[in-house]
Amino acid sequence: MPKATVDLYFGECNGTAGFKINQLEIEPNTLAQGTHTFEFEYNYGESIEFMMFGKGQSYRDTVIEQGQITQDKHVSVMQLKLQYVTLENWHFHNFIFDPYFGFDREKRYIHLPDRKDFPVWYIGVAN
Amino acid sequence: MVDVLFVSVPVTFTNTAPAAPAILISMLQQHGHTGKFYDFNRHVKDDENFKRYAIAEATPEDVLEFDSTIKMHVRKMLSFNPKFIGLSIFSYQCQRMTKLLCVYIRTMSPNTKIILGGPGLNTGGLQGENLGETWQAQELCDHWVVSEGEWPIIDIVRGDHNNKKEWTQIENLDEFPIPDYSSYDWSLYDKQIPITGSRGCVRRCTFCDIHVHWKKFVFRSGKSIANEMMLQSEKHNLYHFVFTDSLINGSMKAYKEMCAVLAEYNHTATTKITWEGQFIFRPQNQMSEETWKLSADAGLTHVTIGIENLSESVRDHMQKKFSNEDIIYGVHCMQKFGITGTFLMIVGYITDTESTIQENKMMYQRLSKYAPDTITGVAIGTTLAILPGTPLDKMSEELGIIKGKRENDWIGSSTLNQRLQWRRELINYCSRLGYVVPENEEQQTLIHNLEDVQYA
Repeated sequence: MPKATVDLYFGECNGTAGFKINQLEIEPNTLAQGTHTFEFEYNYGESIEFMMFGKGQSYRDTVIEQGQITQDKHVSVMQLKLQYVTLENWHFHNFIFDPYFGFDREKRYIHLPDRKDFPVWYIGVAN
Repeated sequence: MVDVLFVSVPVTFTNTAPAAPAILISMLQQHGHTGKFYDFNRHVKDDENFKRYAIAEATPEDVLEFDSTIKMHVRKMLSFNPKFIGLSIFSYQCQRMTKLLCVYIRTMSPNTKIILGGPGLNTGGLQGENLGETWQAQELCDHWVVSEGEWPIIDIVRGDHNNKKEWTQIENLDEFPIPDYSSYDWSLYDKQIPITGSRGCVRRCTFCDIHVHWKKFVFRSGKSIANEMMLQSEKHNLYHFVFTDSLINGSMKAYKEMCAVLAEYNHTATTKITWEGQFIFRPQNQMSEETWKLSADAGLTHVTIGIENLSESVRDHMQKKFSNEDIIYGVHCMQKFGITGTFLMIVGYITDTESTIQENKMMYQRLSKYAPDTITGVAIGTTLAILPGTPLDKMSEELGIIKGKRENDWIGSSTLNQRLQWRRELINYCSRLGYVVPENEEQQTLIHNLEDVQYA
């Protein structure tokens, strides 16, 4: 199975959230605020699941002042290196999904095609 | 089964067969290996999807058609059953397509090893960042070669190559075998054969990165070049040659020797050999009328000359080392002996001002009697680019130049807007005087992008 490397930014607010990508699982409150790099395995023809968890509903996990969020427990995908392609934060915004995870148990997916159809997918996302 | 299949990557605008694959194939053969060439670039030269993807950096209009065209060509490449596919990257405009082609080869034939090489593997000129290491980390390639590939290709096939940015320049070009074009499909090109007589340059022009990359000017003996031309012409029944050199008369000794052999050959040949290449104007005491005549007898038909600027003060700053009188003498000799020429020009050099632009106009006026029959083209470039590692790049701070994101986008004594204006002015002026001012698709795209920089 190919290996991927992902850079995730953990925003702290009453601790940090947990995050899960395929078999990789990061428990809540185990990381300091900032960008952290992880490895995980994936397969062609399968989806990669991204999920944030461990965020409460309370005001402690999201601070709102004068109608604006000033602090938020969140996780943002900064960079994802798959085999042959590096996807930056802006690639996610433009071609994949909103890389900002701000709700508990929020899931998003990258549907990877099989190897045969991978180049067409690459053309679509690597622009 | 072939050891290495060399593939040219789209998009490069040329009608001439590329020289590098034939040189590397002959090198492989000399060492007991095999190589062939597949010109992917040339096969898709009219396909708008490729231009859109590679040059405009946009998604092709018809992605599925684009996908099926690439797959068809990769299948053709794989039908050679190559152990290695060597992607020849001619310029930065091939970079995007190279990555995509790697993805196709990797997904269609994971066991085929990929080698990357060519000047386009560097971004921002020959001294710019080399992308090989980054692309290898992304698993897009197995090997990458900086600059000359003759020895690295042998090492790669033997499993003894280290990918590295450092390289040592070959000093004896005569030790290599004659290029093997037997796997080329000549129907794809103009009826001419490329040939390399030298590498590097004898000048140290401030804007150029050739002399920074190639530390020494190395050249083959005139006899060896002439022999190659005589052999190749008979083998392929093609009698016109295009030199890939930065200049064909860098060594006057080798140049005269080559001309003497070819002039003698042409004297009795049924079909005469003709040739063209990049050239420098030399004063009369270095290149006499006799030598010009010998050149014509040897088959010289066209020269492409880096005049760069028609203001002597600007050219002096550039270190071009020839005067306006040398230009007039050169053009006079060209006309006398039936040799045509294209001028390569830079507008908006760091010392260009309104006054030097006027000097250019006066000189264009003076030379206009030679246009368009002797001076068949004036190629006015896309304004001065300050390339990494060049003397201008090194002097830029001292000269008070503020560099932008692109090489052409800098502010000094002039702005990009002013330079683009001068360019338009000179193109119009030259056209009115009867010069032909060619502008290719590549230039149009760059100018379009630069104009966007201005108005963004």
